[in-house]
Amino acid sequence: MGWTTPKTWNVDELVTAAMMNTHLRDNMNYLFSPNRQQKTGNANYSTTSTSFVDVDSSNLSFSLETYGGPVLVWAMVACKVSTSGAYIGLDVEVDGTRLGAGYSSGLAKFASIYTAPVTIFRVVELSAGTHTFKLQWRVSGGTGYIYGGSTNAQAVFGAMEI
Amino acid sequence: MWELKVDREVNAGALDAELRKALGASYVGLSTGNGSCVVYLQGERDEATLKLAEAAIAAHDPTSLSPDQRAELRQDEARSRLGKKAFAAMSEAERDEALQVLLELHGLALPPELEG
Repeated sequence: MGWTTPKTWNVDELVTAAMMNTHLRDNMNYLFSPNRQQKTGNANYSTTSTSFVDVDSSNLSFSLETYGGPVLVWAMVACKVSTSGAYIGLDVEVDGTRLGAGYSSGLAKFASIYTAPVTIFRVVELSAGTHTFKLQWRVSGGTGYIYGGSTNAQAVFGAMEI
Repeated sequence: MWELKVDREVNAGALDAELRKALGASYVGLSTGNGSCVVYLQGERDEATLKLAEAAIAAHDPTSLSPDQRAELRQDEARSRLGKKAFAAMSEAERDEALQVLLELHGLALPPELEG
């Protein structure tokens, strides 16, 4: 069950079970368990791309139906870059537009030759409908690595309406 | 930007250096993961660039290392060999080597593999 815009009640209106179920029960149920997706990368990834590209278009990408509320987007990855002085830019693309399009390194910049975690949290305002989310990255030079396929690291990417 | 899927085993770092050399500014980079490799090219898709990219991919030897990878391997080897040794106990040659690797890792010296 999704969210239904709550009805405006009238004086002396007969309240039916169907109305209560739709506007109260189902909406309460949705608020307690809103639509959400969380994906995990099941491989180690590398890129040398200097333009933003998908990290994994199959596993770190998803569609989510929302009802007009704000949406929390998150990503957690362990990464490193091969070359000292180079950096990895991480970003989230929603419906073909990057959230960090105004920044050369996207939403997060990581510059270390040693593996460390990077986290993105972002609240976005989206109209009601089905939206496509993709985790993207690029490097300024060298090779960027995300570790998602080993027993000690997992790449996580998710979103939920809040 | 357009993509070219590579259906063979690759050494990503080495193939990247080879494609960069063969394609110049048309080449954006490549990504690997889930056993696949995708090459990214900018501009309109054209046959000449495609042929150059395919030739570089066909000639690629996944066992060969790029200069970057050779430098990384040497740095790792030096770190594991010298990392457990006290500085005072190092010979002059070992101190020079440790200093060189330290400078390279902090971007203050170019690895010899990348010179020229």
